[in-house]
Amino acid sequence: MNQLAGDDAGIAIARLAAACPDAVTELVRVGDVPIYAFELGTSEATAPVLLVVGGVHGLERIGTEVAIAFLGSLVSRLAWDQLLHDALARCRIIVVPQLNPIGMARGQRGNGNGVDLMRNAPPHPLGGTPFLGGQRISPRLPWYMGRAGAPMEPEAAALVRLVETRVFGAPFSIALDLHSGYGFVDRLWYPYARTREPMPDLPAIAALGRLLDDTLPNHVYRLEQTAQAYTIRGDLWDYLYDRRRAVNAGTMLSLTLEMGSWAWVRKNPLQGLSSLGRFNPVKPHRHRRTLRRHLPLVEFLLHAAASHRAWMPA
Amino acid sequence: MIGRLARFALLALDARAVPRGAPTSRAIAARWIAANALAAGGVQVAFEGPVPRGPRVFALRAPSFAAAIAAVPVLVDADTLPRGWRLALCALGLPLLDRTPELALAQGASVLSAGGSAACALTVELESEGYRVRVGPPDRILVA
Repeated sequence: MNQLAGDDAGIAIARLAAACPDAVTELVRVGDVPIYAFELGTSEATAPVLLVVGGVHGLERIGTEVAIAFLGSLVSRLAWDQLLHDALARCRIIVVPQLNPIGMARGQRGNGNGVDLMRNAPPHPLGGTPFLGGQRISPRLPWYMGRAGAPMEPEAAALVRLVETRVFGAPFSIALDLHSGYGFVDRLWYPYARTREPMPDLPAIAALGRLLDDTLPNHVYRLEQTAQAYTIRGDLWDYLYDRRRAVNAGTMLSLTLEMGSWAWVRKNPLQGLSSLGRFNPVKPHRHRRTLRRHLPLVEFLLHAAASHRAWMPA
Repeated sequence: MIGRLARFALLALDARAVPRGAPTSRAIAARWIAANALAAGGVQVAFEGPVPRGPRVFALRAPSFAAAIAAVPVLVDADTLPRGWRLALCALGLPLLDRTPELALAQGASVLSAGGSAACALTVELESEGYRVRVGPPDRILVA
């Protein structure tokens, strides 16, 4: 396989950390493995924020690789790109390229305890398709939410802490969580995951969608609610979105990029026989194409966050 | 069409997993299921004014039961419904009134009745993208 193995991703992240030591923070250490966050831009707490998260599910390595590709591009541009410096003087970028390094090293969806980090938040009493939307039967089965009443897993808790301390203070922020494994097209999902009812910030999402259509007219993304098909209990972004709304009047738009990995399997059916092949591009040219395909989107979201006053509905 | 049917099938699965027990929990579950059914069909529901507090009997003569149930947690008195509606709501897994309205009210749940008179009415108006629901006296009931 051409894609980065879990260890290779760790090495790439360590290289980036060495290249910009002032920008890196260790969020938490799980066993001996650190989870890093990179923070670039102004330290002004009220500046808009773009948060990029990868590797929540250990099988979905391509999410971590896209986050690393974006981070690598940023770090190399820091040396020469004055426009980037101007943007970073007005906003902040936070990248957590690999939230679940243990799961990625073991080639499993959940973390070291078998818990699906995206179903590990305190669940809302309503919503959740049986089993698929979260189960408490066994960590050996997928979509395990963890024991009822247990604290959040260290990785999920670290992400919540990061968002609460570094993102909630911003008047406007966009979070992009990179996933793969569902559908033939790339989707941008917005909350809620626990219900099909519309989120309160739907007008802002609609405005962002129009802006995306106008700015990148030939983009490949389908913008839809996470709970379009099935509902999820304990979704981390639902939890953070609700917490954000409870804290103050600012706006946090959390988006999940779900890369349509079925298209990769359709083009190369043999890769469907491996668990990693069902979630990641295997052919080298397709892998490279995926890494460059989403950079314009992340760049667009950065600009949209920095200039939110120009397009956000009143 | 197939996608929409699949969404409703998954919603029916979700509906059967929604916790229910006491009448108030059943009413909250009914609201969640109805709201999800409308959202799955791309229909928006707006509620105007404060959500009424405390148990009461609502009357509804408009045909859009789902919009009324999606707006306020209520248990539908199935005996007052046309047979087709009863079957549709059962297929969706929507909890219905399973005791007398008086007992449900005493236990804190509101009841929605399709016929008869009540002190309170859920007025449902059809708009371009969905429904607008508001609480009003019975003489303000509009047919959607």
